[in-house]
Order: sequence, then C-alpha cells, then structure tokens
Amino acid sequence: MLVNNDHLGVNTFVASSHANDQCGANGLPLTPNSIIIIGRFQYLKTIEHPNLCRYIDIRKGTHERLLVISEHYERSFESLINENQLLSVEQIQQWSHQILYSLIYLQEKQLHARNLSLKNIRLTQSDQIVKIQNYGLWHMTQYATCVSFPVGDPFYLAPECFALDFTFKNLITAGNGHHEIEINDPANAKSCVWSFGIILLELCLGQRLYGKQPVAVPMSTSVRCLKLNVRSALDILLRQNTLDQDERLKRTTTQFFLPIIRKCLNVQVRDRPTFVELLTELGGKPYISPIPRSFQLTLFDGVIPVLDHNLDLIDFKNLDTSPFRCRTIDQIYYLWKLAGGDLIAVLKNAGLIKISPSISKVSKFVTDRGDVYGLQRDVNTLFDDTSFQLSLQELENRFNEMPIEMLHPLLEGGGDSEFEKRQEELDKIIERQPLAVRENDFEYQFHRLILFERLLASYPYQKERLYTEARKDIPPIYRAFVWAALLEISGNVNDVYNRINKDNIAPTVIRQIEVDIPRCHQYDELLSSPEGHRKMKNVLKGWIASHSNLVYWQGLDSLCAPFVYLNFNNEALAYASLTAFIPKYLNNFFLKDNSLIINEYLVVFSHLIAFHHPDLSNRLETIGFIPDLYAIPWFLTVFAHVFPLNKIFHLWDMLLLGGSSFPLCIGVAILTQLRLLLLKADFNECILLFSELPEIDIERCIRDSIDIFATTPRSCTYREHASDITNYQINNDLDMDPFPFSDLKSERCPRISANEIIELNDLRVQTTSLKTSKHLLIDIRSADEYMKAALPSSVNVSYDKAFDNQIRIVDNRLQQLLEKHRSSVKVVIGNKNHKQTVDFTNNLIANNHSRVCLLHKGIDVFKTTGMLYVPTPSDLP
Amino acid sequence: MGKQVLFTYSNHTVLLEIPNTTCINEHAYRLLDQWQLPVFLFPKLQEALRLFFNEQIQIVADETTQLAVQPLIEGQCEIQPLLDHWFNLVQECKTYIHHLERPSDEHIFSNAFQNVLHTGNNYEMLLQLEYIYQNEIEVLLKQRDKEIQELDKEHHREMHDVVNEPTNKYPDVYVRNLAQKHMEEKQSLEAKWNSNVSSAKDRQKQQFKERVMQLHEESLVSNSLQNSNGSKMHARISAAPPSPLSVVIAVPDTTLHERRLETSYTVQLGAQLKSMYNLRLIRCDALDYCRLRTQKKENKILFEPQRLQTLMSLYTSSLCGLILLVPKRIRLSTGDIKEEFASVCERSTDFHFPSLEQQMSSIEEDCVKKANSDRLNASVSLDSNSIASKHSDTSSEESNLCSVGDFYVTRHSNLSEVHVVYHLVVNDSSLRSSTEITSRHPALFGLRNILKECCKHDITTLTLPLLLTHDMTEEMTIPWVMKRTELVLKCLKGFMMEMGTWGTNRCSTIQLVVPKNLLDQTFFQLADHVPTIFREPRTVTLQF
Repeated sequence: MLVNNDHLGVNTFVASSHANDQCGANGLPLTPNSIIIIGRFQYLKTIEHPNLCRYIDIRKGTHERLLVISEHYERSFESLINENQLLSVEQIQQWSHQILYSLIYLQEKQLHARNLSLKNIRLTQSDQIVKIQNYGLWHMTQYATCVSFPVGDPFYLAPECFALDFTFKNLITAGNGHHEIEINDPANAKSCVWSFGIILLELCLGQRLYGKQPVAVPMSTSVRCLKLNVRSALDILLRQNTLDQDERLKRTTTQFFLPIIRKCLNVQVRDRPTFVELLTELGGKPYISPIPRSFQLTLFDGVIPVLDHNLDLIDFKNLDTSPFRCRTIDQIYYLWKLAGGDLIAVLKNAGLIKISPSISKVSKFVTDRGDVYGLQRDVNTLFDDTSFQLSLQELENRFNEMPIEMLHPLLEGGGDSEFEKRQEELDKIIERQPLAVRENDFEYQFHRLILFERLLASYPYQKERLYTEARKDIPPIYRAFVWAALLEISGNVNDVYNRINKDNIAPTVIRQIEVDIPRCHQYDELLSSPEGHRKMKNVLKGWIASHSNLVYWQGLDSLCAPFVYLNFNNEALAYASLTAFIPKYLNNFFLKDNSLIINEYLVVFSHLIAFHHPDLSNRLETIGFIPDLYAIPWFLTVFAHVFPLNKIFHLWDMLLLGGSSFPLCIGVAILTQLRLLLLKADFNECILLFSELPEIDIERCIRDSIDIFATTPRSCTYREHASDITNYQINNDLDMDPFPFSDLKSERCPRISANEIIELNDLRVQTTSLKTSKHLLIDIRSADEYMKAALPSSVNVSYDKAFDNQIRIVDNRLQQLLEKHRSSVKVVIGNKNHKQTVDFTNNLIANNHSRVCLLHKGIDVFKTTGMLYVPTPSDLP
Repeated sequence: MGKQVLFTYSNHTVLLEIPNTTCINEHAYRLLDQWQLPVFLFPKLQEALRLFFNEQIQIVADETTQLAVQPLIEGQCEIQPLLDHWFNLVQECKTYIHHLERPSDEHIFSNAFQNVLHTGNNYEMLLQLEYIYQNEIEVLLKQRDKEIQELDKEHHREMHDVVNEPTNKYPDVYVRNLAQKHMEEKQSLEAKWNSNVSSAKDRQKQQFKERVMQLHEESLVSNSLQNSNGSKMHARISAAPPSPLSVVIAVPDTTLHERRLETSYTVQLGAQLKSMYNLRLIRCDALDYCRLRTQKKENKILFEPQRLQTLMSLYTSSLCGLILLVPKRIRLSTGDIKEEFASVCERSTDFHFPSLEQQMSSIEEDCVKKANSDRLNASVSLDSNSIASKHSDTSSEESNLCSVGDFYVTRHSNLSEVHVVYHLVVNDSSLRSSTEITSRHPALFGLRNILKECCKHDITTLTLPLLLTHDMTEEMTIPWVMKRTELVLKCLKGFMMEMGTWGTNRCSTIQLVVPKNLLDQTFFQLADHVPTIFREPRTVTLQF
C-alpha cells in the first residue's frame, strides 16, 4: 500500500538501434532492442520486497525511447551526505540489514543490481526504511547489450566489472547473433558487495569517497587495484583520496564498520563475503523471504490471500483511511493513466526529454545497401538516470470528489436499500455507454476495480456475482484473473505446471512451434520480444506434454497468444487457462484425426448461416464458396488468428460467458457484417476478401452474436462431438441424439428437438393455438395423416401441394403464413419420409425464408407424450 | 558457457547444468519422478536444490570473473585500452559530460521561428517578407539572364563574323583564342552575377533571422508583461513598418494545373492489426510540389494554403518528402530534372537551411567519398582471396560518383509542399528502355531505404514517381506503363507491410506521381488498377 510519501516516478532512456537490415539465424529481421527490453522488463514486475522500489510499467516512446514507471522516493543516501548528517552505528546497521535483505532477495530471483550507489538507495520520509531503485536496469537491458551506455556507476563499480564487461562485449560482438541465443548473465553477485563496501565507507565518512573528482579517477583506481598485489583495496582507495590520515576514520562509527568494509573491498571476488555472510557479520536477523501479496503472485497459487492482501502488520499502524491511499500502486498508476496522465508530456516539462526537430536530424546520404552517412549524434539520447516524480495531486482530488457509491461496491445485498438503489442508478447510466467509453471512464473503472478486486479475492465464494458482473464488462487490469475464474480454474496452477515434464517432445513438433511463434501476433510488443517467444514456447510445450492424446496443430499458437499476453509473468496460469479453454470450446479439435469434428462443426455452421441469412447461404452455395474454404482457421483458433489482440479480448470476454456453440454465432455475426459485400462477390473475390479480411467492427460483432445466440434454438447447434453435449441430451426420446453425418450434410437447415418445441410453445398447456405459438409449426404430412393426430397450434401444409417444379411456393396459405411469421422460427414437421422434410426445408431456404428448422426424428416422437390431439376440419385450409 | 555439476541427494546423483534455466520446483518434480521418491520429500529436495544452485552459481560466477580478470593481473592484457573503452562508454551518460554543448544557432532559430509563426498574425508578416525577398531575387535573376543572353548574342555575332570571313584572314589560332575569350567572359559574368545573387541571399537570410529573433523577443516580453501586469497590454516595442501589401491565403487558379488528374484511395494493410494509409495517384509535374506559386494581384499577395502549411509543419514531426530521380554524378549537369530542380531552388532564398549547392557539396565531400571508400574496402576484403582485385582503376573521379540505388537527402524551406528531397540515383536510360526490371532492381531497394528513412525521421507524406521516370517517351507503351505500375506498387506494398517494424511514425500518406504527358485513358486505367493491388476497405456504414 501507499504510505503518504510514496509516489510514482518515471525515468527514461534510449535503446541502441541495430545496424541496417541485419537478420537473425532464423532469417527474420532482428528484434529491435527496445522490444527486447520491454519483454525482459516484465519479469521485474514480479519483484516485491519492502526494501525495493516496485517496477510498475514500461512504455515505448518514439525512436526507441523507453519510459520506465516505478515506485519513487525523493530522499536518497545522497541527500544524507549532502546534509552532513552524523550517523549512528545502529542507524547504519539497520539500513545495511535492509539493503542486504533486498540484495539476497534479488539474488534468489536471479537478478543482479549492478548499479548500487548512493543515488539509487532511497529512503522513505521517516528515513527508517531503505528503498533501492533502478536495480532492474542490468536485467532489462540484457546485461547492457541493448543500450549504448554502461550500467553501473563507475564510482561504485568493482574492479572485475570493468574487465568482465569488456570481455563480455567482445564475446557478444564476435558471436554477432546475440539475439538468437540466450546469453548468460556475466555479472557476479559479489560485485555488489564491493559497491556496498564503498557506500558503507561513504556513510561513515559522511562524504563521497572520490569527492568531486572526474569519473576517470575511480575507473583507473579501481582497475589498477587488480595489478597491485593486495588483498583489500581499502587502504589504496583511502590513500588515493588522501583520506588515510583523516580524523573521521577514528570515529567509533567508522571503527565499528571498518573491518567489514575492508572485507567488502577485497580485490579478488572469491575473497569477498557473500550477502548472507555479511548479514551475519553485521548482526542482522537471518533472511526470510517476503510474503507475496499481489494478485499475480497469490491468486490461483494455492495461497489463500488474506482479507486485504495489501496490508501486513506494520502497515496497519500507519493505515491511512483516505480512499485514495489504500489502493495498490499498480491501481494508482492505472487510474493515473485513465485520468489523462501523459508520461511524455511530464518528461518534456521536466526537461528529461528534449526533442530536437525531426528535420534537423535527417541523414545526408544512404547507400544502396542502406548504410547511412552524415547522421549526427543526437545529444538528447544520452543516458540520464534521473527519475521524475509523477504528480498525483490531481488524481487525489478526483478521488475525494467521488460519490461514496462508487467507492464501496457491495458484494452482498440486504444492507442499506437506498444505497443499493443509488448504486443501481449509477450502473444504469454507464451501461448505455459503449465499451470503449466505459473502459476509459475514470470513475467507472475505479468502481469496477474495487468490485473485481474483492470478487476475485473471494473467489470462488462469489462466483455467481462474478459472472453477473463480467457480463457487463471486465476491467482490463484484472482480465487475466477474471478469465481464469470464468474458466473455473482452481487449485495450485504452479504446482500442476511444474510437474509437467516438458522435455520429451518430438523434435519435429518443436521445430514447427519455433517456426510458428515468430509469426504469431508479432505486431505486439510483448509477444514479439524474445522473452515472449520463450514463454509461448514453454506454455505450448507444457500443453503438448500434458495432452498425449492430442497433437499440435498450427493455430494452437494463436490460441495460446492471448493467454500468454495476459499472464506474461505467470506461465502456469496461462497454461491452466489454455488447458481449460480448449475442451470447453474446441473439444477434440486437436485430435490427430480431427476431420470428423471439424466437418460436423462446419456443417452446423452452414446450417446456421442458412437459418439466419438464407439469401447469403443461397448465394455462397451457388458459387461453391463453402465454409471449409475460410472458416477452419476461424474456429480452430476461436478467431484468435483473425483479430488483433485488443479485439480478441473483447470478443472472448463475451465468449467465455457463453457455451461451446458461441463461436458459431460469432462466425455468423462476422458474415452478417460482410453480407452486402459477399452477395455481390464472385468466387475469386470471396477468396480474396477472406484472405485479407476487412476490418470488423468488433462491438457490433459481439452484439450481433449475442442476438444470434438468443434467437437460435439451443438444439439447433447440437453437435455430437461437443464437450457440453449433456446440455442437449437428457437421455430422453424428445432430445437430440446422434444421427448419421451424411444426413447432417444433406440437410441445409438445423434440427430442433421436440423438447425445445414443447418448452417454447407451452405445448403442455391445453389452450395453445397458432396465435399464441412462438414458432410456426408446419406439418407437411398429407391431410389424412394430419387429421389423425397432430400437434396443437401446428398448421398442415401438405408437401405435395406446396411447391411447383421450379421450387416456387404455390400454396397461398403457406405464403401468407410465412409472410406473417417472417421473423419467427419455422419448424417443419414431417414423418418417417425424411427426404420429404429435408426437401421442404431446402425449398423454403431457396425461397429466402429465414429461421427454418426441422423437427428431429419427426412427429412420431410425440406419440408417447399424449400432447397430440385430433384436429377438427376447421383446422384445415 | 554452461558446465555440468554433480548433484547428490541421499544415494541419488544427477548431473545438472550450471547456471540453470528451469525453475527449481520443476527440477525437484523431475528428480522425484526420475528417482521414484515419495512426494513428501518434495520440500526437502527443493531446499537441497536451492542451496546447491546458490552455491554452484556463485562458484561458476567466480570462475568466469577470474577468467576475465586474470589476463589483466598477469599483464597479458593492457589496462589502457580497457580504460579507454570505458571512457567512451561513460561519454554516453549525461552525468559525466561536464561540457554539454549549448544549443546550436540552428536550434535556437528553429524554436524562435516555430514560436513566432504560431503567435497571432505574425505569419502574415513573415509571408510578406518572404514575398518581398523572393521578388528581389527574381529581379536579380532576370537581370542576370538578360545580360548573359545579350553577351551570348554579341559573342555569337562576333564569332559569326570571324568564321564567315571569306578570305581566311583569321588563322585558326585566332578563332580558338576568341572562343577562349568568350568563354572566360561569360564565366566571369556568370560568376559576378552568381556572387551578387548569393550575397543578396545571404543578406536576406541574415535579415530574416534577425527579424524572426526580434519578433520572438517581443512576444516573450509581451508575454511576461501580460503575466506580470495581468492586463492585456499590447506594448509593441517597435511597430512593424506599415506595408501597402496585404497577405491573402487563397487557392490558386486551377489553370496552372491544367493537365493535373488525381484520385485517392484509403487502404488498410496488415493481417490482424490493420493500419490505414492514404494513397494518391496524381498526374502532374513532380516539381509542381516544389514551385512557389505566390502571385500578386493589386495590393494583395496571394499565397497558396499549402505554402503556409509547409512552413507551419517545418519543425514538427510530420514532414513531407519528395523523391527525385537523379544521375550518378552529384554535381549539376544540364538537361535533366536536377537542373530544373536547382533552378526552382535558386528562385528564392532558403532562410533555414544552406543552399542546395552547399548541401550537395557537403554531401559529396563528407559522405559520398567515405561511402565509396568503405564500399571499396568491403569489396576488397570480400575478394581478398582472389588475385584479381580491381581497385586500380578507381580514379578520384570515380570516388565522387554514386551507385544506382544510393540516395542523398537535402532539406528545404523555400519549396511549396516539400521539406525534404530524396535524390534517388538511377540509371535513367536503362530504367526507361528495359521492359523487364525485377523487384530486385537497386532502384527499388533505394525506394525501400527511402521509406525506411521516412519512418526514422518522421516524414509522413512521401511523393514518388510511380513509373520510376519523370517524363514519358515513345517507348513507354500502355502495356509498359501497366507492367511497371504493377511492379512498383507490389514492391511498395511489401515495403509498407514492413514499415510497422521500422519505427513508430509511419509514412501514412503516399502520393504516386505519373508524368504529366501520360494519356488520360492510361491514367484512368491505372486508377482502376491500384485497388486490385491495394484492397480498399469496405465503406463504413454508420449506424444510428
């Protein structure tokens, strides 16, 4: 949580750019360094330690500039030195412990701070708590290979760092393909011990070791120590800076720490103590790992989050009751952005970014191979490690003006009814707004944020409520977790994921994955980064290894992408989500032989097209443009291959609330948008149109697919191979049951189950008639048969008299009925002569009548129900 | 770099990679399976692994460090290069550079200009100034051209007299000397005039800059006055000289563009994420984008709106570029588009950038020579094994020539709709005659590199000759035109798809110019052809 003086800070640097048109080993252009950095940065978001500034976000500016947002504190050790404070032994000891705790934590996370310095050690307002900042620069810049400036302050760098970097860089340039191979971190954790020693010394002396000397002095002093045959460099450093006779060395504080400093400054790394050893020497309590608190580390991890996961006992003491201050720092940043925060503008005003006009930077001459000449070095891209504080005053003001209904969403009813009413009203006002507006509305998002935070924290206790709320919309910041909840993931996903042995996968499959991943949603910064590729590969490998009955089909990569994007720091949850998603929507699509499943799916899809757009269906059928030609990637990837990520998110937000047949409705909704184009196009144009699918209005597509879902009888989407087949089958004669694929294929319209007719037409009630019926029930048996027994409210249009030989409707009564019931579902009821029924429906579709379906298994299924009645002659035409 | 170390747990052993890349829990589970241990041992095994890795990683790190440091300790490696390397690195940090350059004059002026142009009605004053100066130059140029013409006439007459003298009175030597004399006279006249013009331009430039700086200071002062007094006091320190002329921004007569034809397209590219581009197909003279068409009618100066737009966007991050096709030689030659372009540039003063000649000579001196020597070195090192390395025949002449596909860039502020001109080097005759150029032609590589430069340097509108030629000849039949268009458009489409990865500022408007003597019919055919390569999105249906 935020204590009063916590703030957000931003700093910026520019990634170095590659030489012209280089390609990697895979023949694809090199990934820009800025993208590599963005990918590597993500891991830093998982760093949570009380003595480390949290990393919040990274943004890309223009021309390879990166903006890093992190927790920020104004005071630093540097300010202490400038104030000439005399520090007590206890004080320094306390800080040292904190620094060492955080360094041990970083080591466990396999991170090297590398740039420890007075400036990077910050203090909270009370000076009690140390907060180290900028510790992630070494990691995110891939050990400084992605930038042109050095990482680490030469005043604090250990001697070996200079040499290591030098040999490392030579190695990299010699290798000349550092983007393809995983580079090992050349840093040694004990280099930080040296920096720590210098900092201790400076604290004791109350001055900077090198004073105001130029940067070349510490560099050469440090490196030359290597050549001198001494164990510790302490005396040399003191003599070099004429401090060896200094009075301050005799102070008790200095005397206390001097032996430890001496050890830290041992020239050879193997002589230097480790962090843990130092901690013991400085009399600190043994290191304990901090308790993870944020959602990304606790949800679905088998760790039960405490009621308010942001508080621990110390925090309770300085608990702030302001609604603003008890938000987490991630939320604050999210809201800051929504409130119109503009990082670039902030940095420009602070003078941290100066941009010279573009025209003054153009190059003069470029050769045919693309080598550039006459380009001036832009001094504005030089590295500046100053971070700048983001002002939160504006934000806090907006918080204070917010009505209480916004701030306190109630999870359980039965409280203050008036309060609830006000909340409902608020909901109603915003509900009418388009999604894009809602997602960017500061107050609304704030409300949703708190609501979902609580719902997730209580998951699965308030699952129903979570569903209801998700139906309105899902706040982007919690999408990953809400999806996981909607997919009913439970238990410890990490444990499950770690148990999978991912190494026994056929090399051919691995090769295929490696080819596919660099072509999957590569416009996205995260997914195009090497780190993103690595994670995609791991999750896919995990899925393949744990599903021995299924295989990798191209398209699985696209399916995986949204989950990896959302759970970038949580492969296990991405894996778990994918694993739950596939059986729900793509049951058996990834079988080695999936033709049965896909064929059934596509036929049902074409039935749905005919059901909703008979004209389109007729047209496409005439030109032979069947769904097999375009819809397989749609359904196999549930549109993840078709749309960009931001659209997939909104589409799947809705999809996850629907059943396994929802993708079919989305397919129809897309065709609805393209309908006019398709009606005009010939076969070739159709092929072209689908190979470069025009932009689809996704919000309209979602609305349409919900409509389509609602207006399609459930049994019409019956598929033998669906996972939720139990929804269709209650082991009753009146329900759907499997029937031959050849039948399915020969029909053009879907089948409806007897049960659904009963349900929708209230056939159990005696008074049903044609007027009250929601469906138009067309009984096509001969009048004789009809007169013996028929369904109430059905009309008899005998097959023989309905059409002429050009399939035009000749029966006037039928014509009128169809006109009258234009928008209702038309059920064609036949008997054992199934071919007649099929012909009849096909003829209706050929005449462009929508919503035609036929009764599964014919009128005979009703015989045992006792619902049939004997019509009177007045029921006949 | 990795090495394998033996890990022992009770009576089981396994070789593990150091440093490890998989997570410890995963390791632990794997070992449990492998050794068939009961699952309750998991926490113990996990802890053992953690300690093992902590220890081993430190050992490996110490070894690596030792390896790097050893040569320095033993003196096999000099310390100085290392320090130099670091000293260079440190120069990349602001903190360690004590003498940061103060902003250049160019920078100060650009800021001031931007500020002045965007405050109040200052733009009128600047445009007026521009017109007056332009007029002055034009008068000078006219005088120059007239005098040179007269001189030419006189020389001609003199020569005529001499040559046609029937008695062969004058020996050949005399004629030669006369010709020599004429040439010298002409050169000295030209030089005189050119120095006149350029000194006039220098003076104008200086005056213009002073004026802008003055206006800038005024606006700063008036701002601060406003701020301090709170009253809207318009204290003009020096009133602008009243001028009888007034500035009018007006769309010029269309008669100027009588053969101009134009259609435009909005296209989307990209598989999943789509990006929008504007394409425009235009039949006109490419230099129409450069010529200033300021006119004077009565007391009004009629400025084209484009001109003001161009000035306003000069220092922003959306610039306009134009591709001109030029021969290999950088120096001016006669009879091609380059000479025409030079004369367009000459007609007014560039207040912001060096003159075209200065820019070109600096390119030749600073860049082309270096590039050519780099190229030579590269090719020498490539076929260093083969004996027949042919770098003997590279005269100094050659080292100033560009290769096909190179391009150089000049900046301008005195052109109508263009800030940046890309001079793309082509072999004109081969481009014209050959019907078969492929997508691997260097000129097309050049085009790609230009688009890439556009992305890097915020050129958001680019105008280019679609047929890779500026004028039509008889060889260019309709099939030739269609074929060439298809090739260039397809390449262009490929480059535009790549653009997404090049930079954040896409070049989103691309104007395709075809020569003005292209037939109407052919133009319409082309216009129909564009959408078959760049598919247009369906029309947006508004829903209410």
